[in-house]
Amino acid sequence: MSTLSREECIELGVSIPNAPLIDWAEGQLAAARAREARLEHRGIHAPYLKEIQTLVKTITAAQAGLARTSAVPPAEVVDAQRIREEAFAYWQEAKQIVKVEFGSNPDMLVKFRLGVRTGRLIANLTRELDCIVSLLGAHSEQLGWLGVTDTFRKVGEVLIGRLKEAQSKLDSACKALPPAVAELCFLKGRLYDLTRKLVRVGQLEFLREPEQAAAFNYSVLRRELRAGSEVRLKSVKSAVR
Amino acid sequence: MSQLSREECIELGLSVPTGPLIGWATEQLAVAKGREARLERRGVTAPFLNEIKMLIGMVAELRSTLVKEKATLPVELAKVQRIREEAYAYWQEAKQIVKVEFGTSPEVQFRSRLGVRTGRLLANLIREMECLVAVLREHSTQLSWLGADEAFVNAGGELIGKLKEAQAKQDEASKSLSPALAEQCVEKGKLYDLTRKLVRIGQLEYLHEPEQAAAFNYTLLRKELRAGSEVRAKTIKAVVR
Repeated sequence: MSTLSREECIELGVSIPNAPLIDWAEGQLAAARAREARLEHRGIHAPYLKEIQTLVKTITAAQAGLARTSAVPPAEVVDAQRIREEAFAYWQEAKQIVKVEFGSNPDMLVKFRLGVRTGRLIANLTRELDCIVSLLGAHSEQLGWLGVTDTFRKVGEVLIGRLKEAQSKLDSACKALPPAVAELCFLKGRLYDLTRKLVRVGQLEFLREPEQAAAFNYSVLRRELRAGSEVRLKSVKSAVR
Repeated sequence: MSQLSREECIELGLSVPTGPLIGWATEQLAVAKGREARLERRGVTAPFLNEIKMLIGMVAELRSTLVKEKATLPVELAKVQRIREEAYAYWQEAKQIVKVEFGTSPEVQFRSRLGVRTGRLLANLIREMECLVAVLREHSTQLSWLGADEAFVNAGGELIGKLKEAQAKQDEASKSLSPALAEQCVEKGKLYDLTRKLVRIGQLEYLHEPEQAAAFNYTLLRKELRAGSEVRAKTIKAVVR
């Protein structure tokens, strides 16, 4: 069902710590089970939910079988995640600036590719950041009052360079993973992808019932990832001011 | 500061009831006043806030005059708003369907123009609906498991037709407004547009401080508008299933 390649699944898998991923997937599975009849209208049947459950079990077992040292991600992976988070925060800020200035100009919103989601894949983020930073440059006069200074754009360019470097190191690190760890990451990537789809389908089915829709979310997963990100975001923010 | 034409301001003004608009703008002004030092970094200075304050006064004054003169809006306009809300609900659902199926395909997301905001202008909504319904049609086989079957796509086509009809009726009605009503609508449209910009700037400045960012919102305005929309959205859903 996933349209992601094995390499992309591995990249997703290395980007997420095990415990929050498992907790999140189990929480979403429980939310879905309580609403199975409605979700069936949108193609979420028992085999879909069973696949998530099987992945949760397989990952838990695989993790237990790996030596403690194998559970620690390589330094390149940790660095790549840090850079990805910084770049993602910058991209969010740049997109919000565009929304403010061109909020009533649909063609500009399309040009800046505001509707694209990068997920956690560095290649996607690099492409979108490349696009938005070059457009910020082209429209810098109009956007200056919102904080798009030369420094802000340069920070964007630096981040693109760092992302490219991080991607290359991450690719090498992923290729060098022991087969069992690579397999675990692959399964984690699939679990992330399937659970994400479940969240989106839940939000779709309950689009007009916000209290129900709220049960489908990323809260558990993001809680652990957020703390570190916020510190880094503030550093980026203060650096460009 | 607004990039909207006089006609667009009139259309915006017609689409928003005066009481909730004044309440919302007053609330957002109060929120901004407690955070002036931070907002100044994003170009929201005293003249920006004064303009909102002045518009609130002007809209309230015009409302009193119109009440005394017993001036009322043409009845066709209520029907136009109902159709806009139905179409908007459909568009949201269609966008979420595309996000589910093409969540890992940035180019389809880009082509579907998922990042565009239509605001409350019919012309914007018509264009985005046309684009999205075409994407649904093109990928109907792939999307049917999510509920985007032939009936759903056809419902979209019908809504586009209704929107175009509504737009023509609205244009006629706008032209026949008394000068005082037209003036009030222009001021309301300007107030809506400026307050919306303030909300977006607040969300930008506090992007990484969610509790602060949450103070900048549309809650008060939407509370009154929502009830009717939900009923209509459910009706559409029932029809296309």
